[in-house]
Amino acid sequence: MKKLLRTYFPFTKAVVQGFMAYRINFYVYILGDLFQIVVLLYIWFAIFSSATSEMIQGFTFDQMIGYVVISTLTSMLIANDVHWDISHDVQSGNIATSLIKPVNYQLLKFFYCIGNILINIMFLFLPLWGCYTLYDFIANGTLPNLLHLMLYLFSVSLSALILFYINYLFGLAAFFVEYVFGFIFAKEALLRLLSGQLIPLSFFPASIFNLFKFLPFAGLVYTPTMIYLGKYTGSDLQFNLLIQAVWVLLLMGLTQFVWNRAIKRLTILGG
Amino acid sequence: MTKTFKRYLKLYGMFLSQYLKAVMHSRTDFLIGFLAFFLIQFGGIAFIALVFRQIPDLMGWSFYDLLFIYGFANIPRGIDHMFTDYLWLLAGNVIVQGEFDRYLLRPIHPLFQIIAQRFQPDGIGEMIIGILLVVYAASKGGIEFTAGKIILLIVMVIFSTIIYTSIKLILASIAFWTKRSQSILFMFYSMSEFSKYPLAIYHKFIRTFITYIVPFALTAYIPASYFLGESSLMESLGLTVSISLIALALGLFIFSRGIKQYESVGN
Amino acid sequence: MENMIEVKGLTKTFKSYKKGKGLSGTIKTLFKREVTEIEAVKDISFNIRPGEIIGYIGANGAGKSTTIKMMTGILNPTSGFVKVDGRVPYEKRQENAKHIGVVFGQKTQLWWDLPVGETFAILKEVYQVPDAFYAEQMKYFDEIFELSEFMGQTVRTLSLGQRMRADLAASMLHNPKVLFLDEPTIGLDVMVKERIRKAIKDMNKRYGTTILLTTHDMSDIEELCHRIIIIDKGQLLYDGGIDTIRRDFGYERKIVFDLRYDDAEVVGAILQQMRDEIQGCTPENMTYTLSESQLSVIFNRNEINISSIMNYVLQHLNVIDFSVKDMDIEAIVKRF
Repeated sequence: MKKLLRTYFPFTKAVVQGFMAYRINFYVYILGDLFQIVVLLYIWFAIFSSATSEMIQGFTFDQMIGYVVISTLTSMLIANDVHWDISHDVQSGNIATSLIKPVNYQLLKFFYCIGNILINIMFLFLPLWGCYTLYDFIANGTLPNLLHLMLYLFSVSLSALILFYINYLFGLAAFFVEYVFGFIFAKEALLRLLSGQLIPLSFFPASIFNLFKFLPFAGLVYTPTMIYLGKYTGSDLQFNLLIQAVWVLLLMGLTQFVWNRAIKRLTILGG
Repeated sequence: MTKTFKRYLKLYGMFLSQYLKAVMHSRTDFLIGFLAFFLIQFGGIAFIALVFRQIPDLMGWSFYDLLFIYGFANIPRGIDHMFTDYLWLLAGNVIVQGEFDRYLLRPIHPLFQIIAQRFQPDGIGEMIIGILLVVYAASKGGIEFTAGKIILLIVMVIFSTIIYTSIKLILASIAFWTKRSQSILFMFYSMSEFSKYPLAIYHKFIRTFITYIVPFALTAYIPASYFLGESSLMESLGLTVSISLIALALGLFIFSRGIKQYESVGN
Repeated sequence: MENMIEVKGLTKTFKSYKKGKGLSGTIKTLFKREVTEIEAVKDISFNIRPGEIIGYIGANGAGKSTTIKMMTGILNPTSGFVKVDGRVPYEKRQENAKHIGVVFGQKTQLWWDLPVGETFAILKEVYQVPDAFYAEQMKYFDEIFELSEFMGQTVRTLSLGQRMRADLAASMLHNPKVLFLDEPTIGLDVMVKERIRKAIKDMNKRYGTTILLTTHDMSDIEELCHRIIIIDKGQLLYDGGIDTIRRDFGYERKIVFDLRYDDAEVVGAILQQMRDEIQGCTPENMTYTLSESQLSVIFNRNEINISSIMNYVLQHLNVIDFSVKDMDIEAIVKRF
């Protein structure tokens, strides 16, 4: 274990150090992303003032604000660049040199991902979450529920793993697709909708919603956010956490399968 | 003047025919790009549709009204995306890597060379989806289209596109001073999100800001509102034309000042 | 007209601002900035007559590129002036661009995504080259550069040598009066270099094109240049015939040995003895430097026999590899 950390932790450190040089740019980009949240909040405000009842799909207006904020924070927290990094390795041919080295490529990218997430926690999640919690306390007098928070942290760890494997797979797509930029863009657009980042999944018609529950994407944002908001308890909670865990295992297997195929392709075609 | 214009037009035609040939050549890439931007639109449309399952109207706007505005927003955005995508690279690495030198070594306006450097087929998909949405929303929502109104729509789209291009040009030109301006460009470009919904839902400050300061409201809601019967021709077309021309003039001015700056400090 | 290029009192100073550390530093620099001035080019003057091929020489960072940028209109001088074919390039940049050709060896001037053939058709429009002359030029280029070999390929797929041939042809399409070539042979193998040199000479003879080229390759200078101009640290060091350089430095050779040894002092002592043991060897005509398992010996090949140096080193030291080199430009500049 110690040896493992000694070998791979430098990759985590490199990501964080690289980030420090670009952190002003990072915040400018985040500001751009936050505009989308502002738009979303205004729309929800308009929607609730046009609605005939106080509650829509089980959400009050304040709860919906909470959903928008926590789902956004969750997607920010688990975000990583592994797909860009791998596709860059593949297209530049660097992957061949990485394969020669006595390191496990997936572990390498895993520690790269940990670097991304550390940055997200320190520079994004904690400050924004702190602001929201303070606002929530002053405006509504509520404090986060400690049990929900612990369960959220557990669930969001599984989310981070799911996204790592999904992005890892999309990075490997560079072996098979030339226009990786478009491919990754398509993935991101799809995830926004299917993960519940854009709108709570319960807004979908029941049949579609029941299907979505079993897909890995709900486990990215919707499940942890609902746990944070205290909307999942008892068997609901167990079921959704189980789905997340099962997907982690399935994706783990799938990455291994695709990796083997990709390597075969590499050795046949050459770098 | 007309001679120069014709020459530039001919040159652009030569570039474009090459780019289109390349698009034909790599159809998979085109389809992936199309799919990507289709999915992005689809997300936005799905959001509107899902919300309207819960409410009869949004502060007086119907589902089709919203669809019309959303669709309109994508037409100028897609056209601008097709033709001026290289401005993103000007804001990126072009200055730092000294790539800009070569635009100054040819007897052709540097801005023309930057525009001609790339054609982005992804924008085609964006535009087509926008047109389809506008047509669908108009027919379902009972918006009557006469020949005159279609021409008016095209004119509005042209000036809305100019706004997109001008905002990109102004922000990309900042790179002449700061070396890179991609993050700032992205930040301001993201404000175009505001234009996809009726302005009335926002605070007054935001409304003013995206109408006069970063005028994305003129790329969707304001021109579309004319066809929805919400504003007069003067309030929509008049405002769009005048502000787009001011923005363009400002963009060209800052770009040429940027070149002056580049001439004195290099890369 | 007497001079094709006239450079007088040319000076370019860059201001560089010291960037503060961290956020507080950045905010501080918004109010008070520490300025350091870097003089890239200092008071340079020279003239070039029509039809001359000039070697413009200096170490990296000597100010070559800055001067060329001012001559092509990309950069304004701080003081002094440049005239190319009677025009001030940075004042009439687009007009000047019609009459000059520029090639940067490090990066292509061509459109990355276009086929080579289409590139020339577009350049014909850009420079408004008449049909008949275009046909004639393309035929001529095909002779000297063998363009038809890769006419249908896109620029991004060309090899470095092919790309350089295409770039040179592109810069000559409109038959400019002046051609600026920045490192036209960099990174090319000997055969391609030879071909490029031949073509440059041919174009100069055929059209009387004035050519200014920078290079690190001594053979480029010996084979092409009528005259050379040397600059160092932004200042003019030498402006004159190639013969002086050839006489003063052309006899010099450099041998680089890769060594394996345990004790640097022992090697040093052996080298000390070398001068005594080899015939005709003096501290003036033979010098050596030892660094990191590499030994370079610079000597006058007219006065010392190369085989005696080889013999001595191979016998006394554990040599893994060696190479014989012409003197490089940097070394010559250092001697001035």
